[in-house]
Amino acid sequence: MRKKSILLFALTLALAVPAFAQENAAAGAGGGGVKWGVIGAAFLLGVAAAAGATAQGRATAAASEGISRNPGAAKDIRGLTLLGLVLIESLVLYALLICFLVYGK
Amino acid sequence: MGEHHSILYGPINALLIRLLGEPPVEKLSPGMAAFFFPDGKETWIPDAAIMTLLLLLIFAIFFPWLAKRYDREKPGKLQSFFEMLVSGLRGLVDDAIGDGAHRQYLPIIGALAVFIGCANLFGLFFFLQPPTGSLSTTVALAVVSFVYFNVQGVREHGLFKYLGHFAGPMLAIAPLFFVIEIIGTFARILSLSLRLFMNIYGEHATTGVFSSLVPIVVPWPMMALGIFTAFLQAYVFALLSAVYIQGATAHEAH
Repeated sequence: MRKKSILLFALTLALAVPAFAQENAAAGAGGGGVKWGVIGAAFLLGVAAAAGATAQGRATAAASEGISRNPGAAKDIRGLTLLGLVLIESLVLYALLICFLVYGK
Repeated sequence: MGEHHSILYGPINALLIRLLGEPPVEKLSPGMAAFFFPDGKETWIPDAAIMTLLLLLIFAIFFPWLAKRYDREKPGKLQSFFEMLVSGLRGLVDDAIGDGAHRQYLPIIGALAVFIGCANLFGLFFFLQPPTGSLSTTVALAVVSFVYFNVQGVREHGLFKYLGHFAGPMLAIAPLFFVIEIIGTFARILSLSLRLFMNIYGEHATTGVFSSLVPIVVPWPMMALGIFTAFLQAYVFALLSAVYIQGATAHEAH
């Protein structure tokens, strides 16, 4: 399960490789007109969303397994899971904030 | 994505301009002018502040009225709902800080939770703006939480002992640890405020984009997510504030 999620994550990153080709082509063609901010923001948000989704998926999976093993602790597990999900989500949102800041440059 | 204002923004600022004249932007330095009057010369009070004052007005009218019709024998539906809310918040405070902590800390944590919950819900109405969708409000709330837990820590331990807690377990690495802990504690303001702001503003802006594309059915899932986020973010803010209070006032067993 862990190897699968790491493989999935690497695959998502690999899917972003065409972005490099785009950068080089644009640098060759546009020169001063290349919008590094937009490219950076898009790349950053893609990576952040992928990492955040992977982490939240693992948290939810662990929580579901915990509740299935011990249904009596469901309330505690649910509270802890929500807290963990929100903290992971906040990291993705910090990346979104940086995207807003670099978007126009 | 243009600016979107509540229906109170125009009328109240027009009234204030009628009463007080234009805001004195020229008399202040550019930095101060941008701080106090972020929207320039046309507005005295920004939207977030108007919405916060409206929320305070609603609370000031609603809660005394609710308290007056408190009936211990026959609680009605409204009273039962608020009793559930208070007992839930009391459970949160007790779980996070310690048994019996609710006597001291339930007011502040409950106030933060209820204020943030209702403020976030403002984002669902088309004629209102959520006050927490503005960085000013969320940083203010985070600063309140920060000052509160620090003051409680100093009251509990004394100033030097409280600062000594930042020095870490070993004396050898104390300087490095102290710096790291101080930065981490100040980063709590940033994390609390940014988490709340980005969640509410991001959800509000996305709903706005969806509404401008397809006004009827498409924004509804985002708005359902908005209701969920409203309560969840209030819960998380209150819970983290309680955890910080616990961290500051805890007496470790030596």
